Amino acid sequence: MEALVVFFLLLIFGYTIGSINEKNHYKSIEEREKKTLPLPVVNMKKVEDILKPGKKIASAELVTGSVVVSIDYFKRILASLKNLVAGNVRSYETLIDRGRREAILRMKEAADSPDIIMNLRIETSTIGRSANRNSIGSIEVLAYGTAIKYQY
Amino acid sequence: MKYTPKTLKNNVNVTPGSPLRELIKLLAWVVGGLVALYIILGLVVSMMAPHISLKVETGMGRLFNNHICVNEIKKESKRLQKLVDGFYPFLTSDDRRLNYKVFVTQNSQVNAMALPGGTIVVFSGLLNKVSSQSELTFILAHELGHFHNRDHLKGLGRALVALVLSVTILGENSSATNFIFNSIVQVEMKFSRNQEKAADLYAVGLLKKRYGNAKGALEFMKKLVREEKRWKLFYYFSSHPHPAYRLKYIRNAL
Repeated sequence: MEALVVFFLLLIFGYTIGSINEKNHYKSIEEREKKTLPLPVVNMKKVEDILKPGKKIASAELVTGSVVVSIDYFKRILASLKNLVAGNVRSYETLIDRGRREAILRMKEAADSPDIIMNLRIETSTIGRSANRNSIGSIEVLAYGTAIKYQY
Repeated sequence: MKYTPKTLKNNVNVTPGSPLRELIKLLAWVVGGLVALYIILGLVVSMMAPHISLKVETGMGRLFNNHICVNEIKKESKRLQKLVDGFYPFLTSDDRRLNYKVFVTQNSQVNAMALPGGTIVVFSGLLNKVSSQSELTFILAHELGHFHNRDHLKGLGRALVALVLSVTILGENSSATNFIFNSIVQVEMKFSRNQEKAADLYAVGLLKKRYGNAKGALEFMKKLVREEKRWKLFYYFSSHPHPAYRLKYIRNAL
């Protein structure tokens, strides 16, 4: 019985705090996305693809941005229930979305005012999967690319 | 081509909808599915129970006896054994195949159990409550009723199903499983109350056959009603029906 009470308390706690955190995170992501909007990020590999005729490259350097995001207790339970019946694990979608957008933002913010970031790559890895059975359910998203400055 | 930056209007990567509603829907599916599975498996076990051979049953009994039958009070066991032996001529030939053995054990719980193989375990806590021999005969006849309906095997089977189910899902998340498991227990308790009623009615019939009356059943039930102080709703969560209800159907059977 006590276990059940603790379970529901954790569920309510996870839901309220988790939703507040998620809302705030999305707000911050949207604001910063607007701010960094003028800097284009593309996944083209070749310099010829991004270079306008007659222009030359002044510098090219690696920029990275990475983030570790965790899921709340409520969403984890939701996902574990979904595991039983199969289907779209909706509760993890925001986690992945936030992770990806945050990583790209951090990468953009890390770059020293380039003209464009090319060859964008995104990688994810699961953290704490093998640590124990009740895995902490968090992911790392790493975004990296080449920051290009044109010669004027 | 000129680069014109713009933000995303809609986020296609996140499905809209309330996660709370999703949780309720999922819980309903999972709990419903498990309860259905449990009931079906329980029915299969109940159907199988009458066909378990005597040899298998005695084998299972030995397994149990080693674990449950400790701290025997030999004197009391002997006294109750005589009462049970007295029932033999009144049992059906099918029921007579089992060799009923009474085992009184030092335990404060007010309970008695019917174990596979014909062992009737009576806790000393129950003996302390009983004041007359006729009440004692009712309790023993009630346990014989469980053997007659083969509840001792059915209950075992369902407990096994519940155990297997819970352990399988425990691998996923223990708290969520606890919730699901508790829902299953509710269903089991309902089954159990029906079995207790059947055993009560069998006991009344047996007492009438042996003594011509069922004084013990009435006495014992009246005592339970008198001592019952718990809330009636509590019995929704209990393995036995409410004493007042038991007294009523015992009266009706007389």
